[in-house]
Parts: sequence; structure tokens; C-alpha cells
Amino acid sequence: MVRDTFRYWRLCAWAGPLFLVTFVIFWGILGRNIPPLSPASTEAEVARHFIENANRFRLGFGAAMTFAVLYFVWTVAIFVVMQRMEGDNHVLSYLNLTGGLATVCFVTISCSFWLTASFRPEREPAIQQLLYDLGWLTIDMCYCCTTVQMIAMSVLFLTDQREEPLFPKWLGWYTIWVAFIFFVLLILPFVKTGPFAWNGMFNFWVAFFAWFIWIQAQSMFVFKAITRLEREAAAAEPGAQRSMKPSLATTR
Amino acid sequence: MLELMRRTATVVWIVLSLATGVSWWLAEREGSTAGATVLIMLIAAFKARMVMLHFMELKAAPLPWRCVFEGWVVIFTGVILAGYWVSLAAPH
Amino acid sequence: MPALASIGPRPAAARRLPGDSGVWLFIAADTFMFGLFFSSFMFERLKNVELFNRSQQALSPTVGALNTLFLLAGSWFVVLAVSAAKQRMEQAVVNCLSLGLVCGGAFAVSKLFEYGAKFAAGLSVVTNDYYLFYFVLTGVHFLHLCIGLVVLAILRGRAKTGVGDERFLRWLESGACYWHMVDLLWIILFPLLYLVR
Repeated sequence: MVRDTFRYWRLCAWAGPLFLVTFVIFWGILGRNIPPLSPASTEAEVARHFIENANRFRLGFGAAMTFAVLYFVWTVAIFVVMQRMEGDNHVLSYLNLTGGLATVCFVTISCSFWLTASFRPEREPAIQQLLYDLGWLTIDMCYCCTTVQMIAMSVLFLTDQREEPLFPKWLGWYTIWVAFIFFVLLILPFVKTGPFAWNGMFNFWVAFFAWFIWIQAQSMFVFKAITRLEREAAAAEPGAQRSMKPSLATTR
Repeated sequence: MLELMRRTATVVWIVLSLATGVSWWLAEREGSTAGATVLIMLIAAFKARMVMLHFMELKAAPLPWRCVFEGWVVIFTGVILAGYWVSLAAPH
Repeated sequence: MPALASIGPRPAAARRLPGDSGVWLFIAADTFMFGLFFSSFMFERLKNVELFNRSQQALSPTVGALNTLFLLAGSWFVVLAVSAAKQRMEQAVVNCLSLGLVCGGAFAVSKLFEYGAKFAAGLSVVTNDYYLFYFVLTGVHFLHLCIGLVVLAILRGRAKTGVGDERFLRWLESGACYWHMVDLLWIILFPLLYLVR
């Protein structure tokens, strides 16, 4: 029974790396979002962007919307691990869960704007530009959902009382750092060129790639944490050494 | 309290405050000369290094960590001064 | 010659980072992020040197220098707080942290007045590229400072019972290093924004 439980956890955790790969392929490469068009592009340039790539975008954003759900599945894997760590107090794990769910919603909604633009690419250029703007402003400015998820996680990881913490401290601090650099996005609505624009060094390259690296690092350590929890649970099962209480067991 | 203050940190703090005064004086007196600007940036780099070594205790930290932060001072002071130098050469 | 031996480099075992080792990843990432800020400021400045130099005239080096002195004094008090904690002087820890908070608070108040004056003069983030950088860089730094104030306040609240506890000392050292980082970043930010011309 115990083994089955953890098998599902592990399966959910695989959704993280899978999300990352599919997101980069469908949203980034097929959707031509790495790097995006400059916010200073004219209506005609944006319209041409959709006319020339219509079918490519239909596939890219359609698939990106499908696979974005993997992020939610991955969040659930982290949620169950966090619940084990939290004991009776579940507030941090629920913040992670709702933050992850909201992240998926807004990523999906922003993709639906770009998909709408490529659905009828012959539409009036001004409307195409509106849809393109909507997509980028939505995916960027809803950053705080992800920030909540990340802060909840790092608070739990950094206050872990185990002798050897379930997640390394540096991961907790890296998570906090990424959560905070997202705040620079607040400047994004004011600028159309330069490093703070939605295609700029800070608000695109640093913000998105810090997030991507975090997903990968977090996934790696979720697997490790699940393995440890599994061993602890196995040791606590009837038949195993009775003296080991699950909450005190620290597997090395 | 007095006993606590008899430390290197106190000397460092006094030196840093005086250096700030010197930068301010340079900026007020000859603010627009290139020499003053370069000197002000070098003083800032020196101050940053002092804060790292003495306040953040990197003096006693493992060498790789110390190198990362000393490298930070060198790299970004270098970038700022290089950028400044190019701006002087550029036609106005 | 034991006296001479103590001058040489410390053995590797005695070398340690203060505070939680993980917090140093945060500090390193953050300082390098600011390094990128500085670099892109200099890069954008090259595109319009005159505009940057002209816009800078509206800033007061005196206020900036005064702010530097506030932060330096704050850092010094926090250094004293850490050494007081190592000697288990609870009252001194609380007092030093209070003084550190006062210095940080003085910086925050003066910055708010500075922002207020800029807004009153009709200057904002959209005025030009120089003011974009001015508001973003000092704004991100201000956010760091506010977090630092909260951290110091929490540490001060826990100092009475915490002194003597190994874990409290580690958190105090971590918080102190973060606070020094805020100081460090301002040390470069101040000449960069106010004085380089």
C-alpha cells in the first residue's frame, strides 16, 4: 500500500520536468515566444507575425494550453510532500496549491489570447496587437500567483526542523530570490523598450529563465524528498522496527 | 557597550564614513570632471570591499566565496568605469 | 614562533561563512542581479549621455551621502549586535538592533521625502530613461531595505529569549549579512546614480 502511494507521488512529480520541456517547445519555440516581439512593434508587424505563423501558432498554443496542466499536477506532488512536512498546520501547502493552480490558469489564458489571434489572422491589425498585448500583460503581470507559491514553499523548507532538512537550504533561498525578482515586472506596463520591457533582459530573460531553472531544481529535490519519505514510511510500517516513530526518523 | 565597540568594525565604520565624506566633497567641489568621477567610483569600490570583508565577515570565509564577492567588486567597477570611459570618448 | 603563525592565512577548517550557508546563495544571486542593473544602466547611458547627465542634476548628492551615512551606521550597529549575541549580552543585542532599525528607518523616511519631491516636480518613471533607472534601481533597493527592517524587527523581538540559542545566532548572522548587502548595494548605487557624470 505504502509503495503504491509513493508511486503516484513520483508520477505527479515527473509532470514538472515534462511541463518545462513541453512549455519551451510549444509556447517558446513553436509559439515564437522566446524571445517575444518587442512591445514597440507596430500593428502591421504584429499582424504579419500572426499571418505568417498562423498554423504553427495554432499547434503551438493549443498544445501549450494542454500541457500547461502538467504544472498543476506537479504542484500537487509538492503539495503532498509539504503536507507531510507541515503536520497539523496545512496553510503553507494550501498556499502552494492555490498559487500553482492560479499560475496554470493565467498561463493558459494568456495562450488563449495568442491562439485567438492566430485563429483569424486576417483580422484588423489593431485587434491583433490588442490580443498580443493581452497575452503578454496577462502572463507577466499575474506573476504574484507564482510568487505566493514560491514563498510558501521556501518558508516551509527554511524552517524545516529535521536534522538533515528534506530540501536543501540553498534551494529555499534560491526560491525566495526568484519570487522577489518577479517584482521588477511591476515596471513592465510603463516601458516599451529597454531592459525592463517584456522582451528585455530583466523582465524576459532573467525572469523566465530563473523560473525555468527553479522548476528543474525543485523537481530534482522533490524526487529525493519522496524517496526519503517513502523510506521513513516503510520503517514505520508494522513489522519494521517498532522503536522508530515516523516523525523522528531521519533517513540518511 | 563601550567594550563591544573596541573592535575592528568600529574603525572600519569610521573609515567608511570618512570616505563617504570625501566622495561627497569631490562631487560638490569638482563634480563634473572625469578625474573626480573615476576617483569617486574607486572609493565606492573600496568601500564595498570593506563592507564585504569586515561587516559580512568574508575575510574569514572559505576562499571560493570570498573570490566570488571580490570578483563582483572588480567586475562591476570595471564595467562601470569602462562604460564611463566610452561615454567620454563618444561625441556629444 | 606562535605569534607569527597567527598572522598567516587561517587553516581551511577555521574558515566559515556567517549565518545560514543557503542565505549566501541568495546574497550572491541578488548582488549579481544588481551588477546587471548597474551594467545595463551604464549601457543605456551610452545611448544618451547628455540626457543622463542633465537629468541627474535634479538629484542632491548631499541627501545621497547622508543616506549612505545612515546605512553605514546601521550596518555598524548590526555588527555590534552580532558580537553582543556571541557574548550573550541580551540587552546590548536589543539596543544595537534598535539603533540599527532607527538608522534604516531614517534612510526610508528620507527616501520617501526624496520620491515625494520628485513626484511633486513632475518627474516619474516615464519621464525619461534616466528616471526609469533611477526609480527602478532605488525602488528595488528600497524594497530590499523594507524587508531588511522587518527582519531586524523580528530578530529584535526574539533576541531576549533567543540569545544563547545556536539557531537564533545563525538567523541573526544571516539577517545581519542581508542587512550589510543592502548597505553594500547602496554604496555602489549612490555614486552611480547621483555622481557619475
